[in-house]
Amino acid sequence: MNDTVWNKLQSIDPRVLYVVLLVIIAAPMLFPGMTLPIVPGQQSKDAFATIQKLGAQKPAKLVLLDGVWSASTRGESAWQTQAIMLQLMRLRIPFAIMSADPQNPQLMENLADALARKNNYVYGRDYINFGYQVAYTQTLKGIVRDIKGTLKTDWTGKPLAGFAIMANVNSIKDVGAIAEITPSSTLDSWLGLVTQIYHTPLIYVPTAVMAPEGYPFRDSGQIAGIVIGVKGAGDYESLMGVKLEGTQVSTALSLVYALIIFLVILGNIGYHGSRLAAKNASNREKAI
Amino acid sequence: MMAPYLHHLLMPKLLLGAVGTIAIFSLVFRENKLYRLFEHLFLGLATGYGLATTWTQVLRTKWWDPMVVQGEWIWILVIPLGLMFYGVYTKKYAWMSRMIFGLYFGLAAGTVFQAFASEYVPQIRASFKPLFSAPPISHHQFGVLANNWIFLIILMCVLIYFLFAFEQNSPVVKRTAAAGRVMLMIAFGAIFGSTIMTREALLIDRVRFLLLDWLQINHFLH
Repeated sequence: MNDTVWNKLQSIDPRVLYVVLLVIIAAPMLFPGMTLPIVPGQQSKDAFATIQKLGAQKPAKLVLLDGVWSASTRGESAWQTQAIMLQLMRLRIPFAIMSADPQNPQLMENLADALARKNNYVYGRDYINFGYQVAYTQTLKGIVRDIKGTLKTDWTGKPLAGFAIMANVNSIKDVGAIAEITPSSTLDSWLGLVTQIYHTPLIYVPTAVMAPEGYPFRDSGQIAGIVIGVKGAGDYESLMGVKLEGTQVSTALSLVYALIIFLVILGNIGYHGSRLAAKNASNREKAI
Repeated sequence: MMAPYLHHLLMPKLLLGAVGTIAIFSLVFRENKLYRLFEHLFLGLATGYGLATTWTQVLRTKWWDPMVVQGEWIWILVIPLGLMFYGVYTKKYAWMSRMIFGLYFGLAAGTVFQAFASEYVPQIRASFKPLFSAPPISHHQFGVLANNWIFLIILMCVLIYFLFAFEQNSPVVKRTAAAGRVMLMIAFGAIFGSTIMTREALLIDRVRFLLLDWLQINHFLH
């Protein structure tokens, strides 16, 4: 009874599934030309448009990139960060990195540094890294009125007042937009303590698992846009007309979703098939 | 031809990353000592890195240097204030911890109140949406109105589901609450789908690291 095809469909060896999964994931990496079409979501378009609008203003105001991610969510957050940084650099918008995780300043700096070389961005003139901040609630309350006084130095310990990029940046009024790049529930602090005061546009850049938390705030207009996980990074790259890691990983992700749906269908066929077979067998026994 | 490739494979930074990734993934087959070793290594490294960063980017720049280098000795007062928190571990000095916790709670409560008002008042305001419009109604307006009705119906159903102040005996209330529960389940399903997306994206990133950054398989194919 246990050897029926229906039961086999419900109990495929997990090791076989892992191998199939790895092959599916590897395919778009081994053949970079293999990309699925990306249709950007409205939430990504709104985020993209918010920064485009800032870029149209001359001189463009500073954009604050708040990173809460560490190496553990690099797979999503790094490509989101890269996509947003690339847009900022293409529009020549100055930006600052601020971190709520000890690993984040270095990870964000690595991405910024690699992109800066290709886009002629100079540290201290076009972008700056404020480094890791503890006591985040107090820090956020402080930067609303006095950024330099609250943060004091960049991540290397040099006074903020000495950097050209900070010449006209005093309070949150001088910040054009904030992008909260996070795998955690940190949105509340920005909404509650910072963005509502001067209506600074807030772009929510969460890992996919945290994205549902942002939808009510988008609906109420408290968030300017949402860039959701690698799908959001792929959307962003598509809006910029480039194909980088976000597009590649989005393709792999779509294939993985297709595999999961296929396996769910397979398991259900097995389940219903075995029930039907058991019912038929029982009817036959009754008939005998 | 092989020498530079081997040199690349054995680069300590990449090799450690690759061995660490494989060791952590080895758990999917079975629990093993290599997995445990790398799990502890990762925790130790992350904690050590966090401590070092806290000193170099926070305590030194915002407290030690202003106090010692710039002569702002007033900052020394934060040491006794900080030590008061540890009074919680002894009966004799527990009163000290209560004082500092009380101060901290007061500050936090004020902040939370400000945050709550800024965060949720716009939410409540946004839940008041137009349900009717004077004719003629365009296709776009019709879509907006339909959306608003769906929003209102779901909002009411879910709110009624969470009304525990009285027993839900009335069939109308019962059915509305049941509908609210179904809608919550749909929302949880969407959240679960998002969770899978995150987990898979993290797996893809690690596979990407192994295949492209470490093994450089794409170089052999193209």
